[in-house]
Amino acid sequence: MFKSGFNRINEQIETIVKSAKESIDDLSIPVRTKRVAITGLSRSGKTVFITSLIDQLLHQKKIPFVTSNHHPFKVSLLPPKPSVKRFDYYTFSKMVKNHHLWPEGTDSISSITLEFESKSKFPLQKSTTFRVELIDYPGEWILDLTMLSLSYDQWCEKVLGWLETIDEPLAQSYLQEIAKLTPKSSGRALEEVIHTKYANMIRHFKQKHYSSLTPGRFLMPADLADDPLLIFAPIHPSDSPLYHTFKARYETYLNDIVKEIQLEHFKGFDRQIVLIDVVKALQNGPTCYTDMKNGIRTMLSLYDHQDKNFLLQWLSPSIKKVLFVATKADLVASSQHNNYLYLLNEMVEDIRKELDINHIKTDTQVVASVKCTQTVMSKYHGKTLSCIRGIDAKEERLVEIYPGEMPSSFPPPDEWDPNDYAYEAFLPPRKSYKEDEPFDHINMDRVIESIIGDLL
Amino acid sequence: MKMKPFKKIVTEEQEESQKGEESIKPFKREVDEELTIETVYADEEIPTKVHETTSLFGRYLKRLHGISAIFIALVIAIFLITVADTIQTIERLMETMSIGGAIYLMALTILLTVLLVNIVSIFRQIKALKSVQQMKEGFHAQKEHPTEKIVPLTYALFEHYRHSSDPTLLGKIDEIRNKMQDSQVYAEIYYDLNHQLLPIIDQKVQQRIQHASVQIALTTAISPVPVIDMVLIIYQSVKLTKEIAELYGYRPGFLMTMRLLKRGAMHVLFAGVSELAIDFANDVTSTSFITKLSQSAGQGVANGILLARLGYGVMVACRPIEVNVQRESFFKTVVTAIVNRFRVGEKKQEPHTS
Repeated sequence: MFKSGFNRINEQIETIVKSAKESIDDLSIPVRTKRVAITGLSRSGKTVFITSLIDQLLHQKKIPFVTSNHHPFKVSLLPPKPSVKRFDYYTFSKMVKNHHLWPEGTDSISSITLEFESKSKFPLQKSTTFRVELIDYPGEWILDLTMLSLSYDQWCEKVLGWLETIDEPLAQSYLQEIAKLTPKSSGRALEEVIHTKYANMIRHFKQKHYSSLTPGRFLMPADLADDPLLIFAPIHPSDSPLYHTFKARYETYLNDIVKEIQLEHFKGFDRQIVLIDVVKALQNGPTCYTDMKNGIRTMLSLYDHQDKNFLLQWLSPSIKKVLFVATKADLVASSQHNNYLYLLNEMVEDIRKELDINHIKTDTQVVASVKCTQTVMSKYHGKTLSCIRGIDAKEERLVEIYPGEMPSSFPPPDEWDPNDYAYEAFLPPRKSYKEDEPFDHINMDRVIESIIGDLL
Repeated sequence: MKMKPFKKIVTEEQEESQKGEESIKPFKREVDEELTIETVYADEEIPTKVHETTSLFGRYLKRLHGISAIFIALVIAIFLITVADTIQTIERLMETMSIGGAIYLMALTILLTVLLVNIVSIFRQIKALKSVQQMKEGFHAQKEHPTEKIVPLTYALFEHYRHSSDPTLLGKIDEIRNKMQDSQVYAEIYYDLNHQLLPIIDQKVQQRIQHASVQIALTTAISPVPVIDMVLIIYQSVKLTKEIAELYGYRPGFLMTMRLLKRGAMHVLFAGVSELAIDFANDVTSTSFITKLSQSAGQGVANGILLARLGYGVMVACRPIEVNVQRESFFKTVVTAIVNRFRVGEKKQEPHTS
């Protein structure tokens, strides 16, 4: 009897312990979510960067810098949210790995959330989980956010002032066209003429690698392609019906399109990666460099950078860490990456200083999200040169390029000869990937370590 | 003349033929184990080399003072005297043809051979020591603002560890080498060597120092005669120095061991009084614990800490890049290990004493 009573007590204790353990396991502690802003001007490589970032984290075979420094961790993709389009990682990854092609330019906002699971430091908790949300968007749209702080008159003044400073025939032609407008100018036909002229002009400027072009929807209209809402352009202030129509449409555009984007997708970030195509700046001369630098500065001003304490950061997150990344490092010979980094540092020096003063951690890195080339040493006229070998995007065949010597500092404008540099686009490597093989890359592991290493 | 950019098309045949050239079949060959920094610099510029050769005589003339100079002069004199005596003996032997002379000649030849082998060995060790020093100086110059010179230096370091038996170390070397083929950012290369590669060796060295310190602390605590303590400490110091040097990829002969030991001892002697006090009075070797120890156990702990300091000094001397391990945390780990051993001993004794 005594023995059975003891057994009963023993069983009860076991049940209590078991249920307590289960309830501890089931404790629904809110999962930490860090939002990482992957930002960059158009064609800076955001989509490929996000695809590679996910690929490296999912497979973890080519990120020894991360895996050797941390406990093992598992990464999975969360199901899509109904409110926003999911970043199409699988399609993009397949396109690069199987079809050896780059994804098309992004024409909508999409998001993806990665869930990280690793061994917990606390014995009672099974595992530690946190999430990282990444957002992709058309780079063309980002500068629209700067328009939110400008009235139509201010925007017109800014754009027309800039057009007067640049040495472009199309800009002069547009300025002459709007100079002809009278206080009686009106009519749908005229509206369309002025709008088309302006839209075509900024599309042409985009081809010429200008960055500070607004409105972004003129360049990447997406679902608003034929919407009359977009029929406006900058003109001089007057009492003409045309001016009032353009002004009304500008305000509607800001309120209905731009503000919605800002409120939905460009708030609440904790960390930021700024992708910069430094090669493009070097290759297109001082005008492109200055324009790109201004574009980056404007873009960064749109984000909230503050060093908040734990509680404030939890209530309203703001960016505390910024990583500036010079993309497309595989276009540059490996021996010249140090100079490539110097150029990036020079480009963002002022911005970094401002962020450092506000206690925002900053860092710089050179990266190739998908490595498409090899550095080869070639003899040419008795000299050994660092050349780049890969599949040329235009000719679609294997070429070896000597793209010129990367300087350690941007040349002075009068000595800056864009012909000294011939960096060209390459296609993804024509290699067959194993099932769980991630992309070859340059320094993606350092980026991961720098941006989320503290969370692992 | 500035080279303008250009592009050329690579045909598939060229690509294939180059692939053929690149693929090297496995083979075995004998290599010179005494790798110096100069061998790797062969294709690179060696700015200091020219200066060294031009002022070689002058520099050696300046060095002709001190105990080492007297020692070298003595060795050379003995060698020359032996050579002269051997020649004379051969001449005499040719004239007299006596058995005694032949035995004397044999003894002289053996002496001469031993001397010659030792001189060669000393010379090689001096060369190796110079190589260590050059590599350290090279990396020291790269510490603040690394330049392109770090690339050949890094390859020299990889060559230095080529024969290592540690697969982790060799794997990390391959990893860094591959990264360097993709991207050469000098600060990152320095960081990788200092924080990724050498810590693999540092960890082993630290374990070795800890083991030796605990051993010396325990043995000297129980040894009854101070002379035995002294012999044990000297023996462990030499052994530890050799082991640390071997872990860092050197093949320490007598001269190299003594030189490194000297540097380690200098580190112990010239370390600040405050550092010494911190080592002894950190939170682990707290006074409350020290006071509980017997006199001999206290001496053991002190000997262990001193050996750890010596080991740290040798580590500083051997590591190609300045030591990365935080000094305080290094000693805390070692001292904790020593103290824990004594605590275990005390606890075991408690039931008997009570």
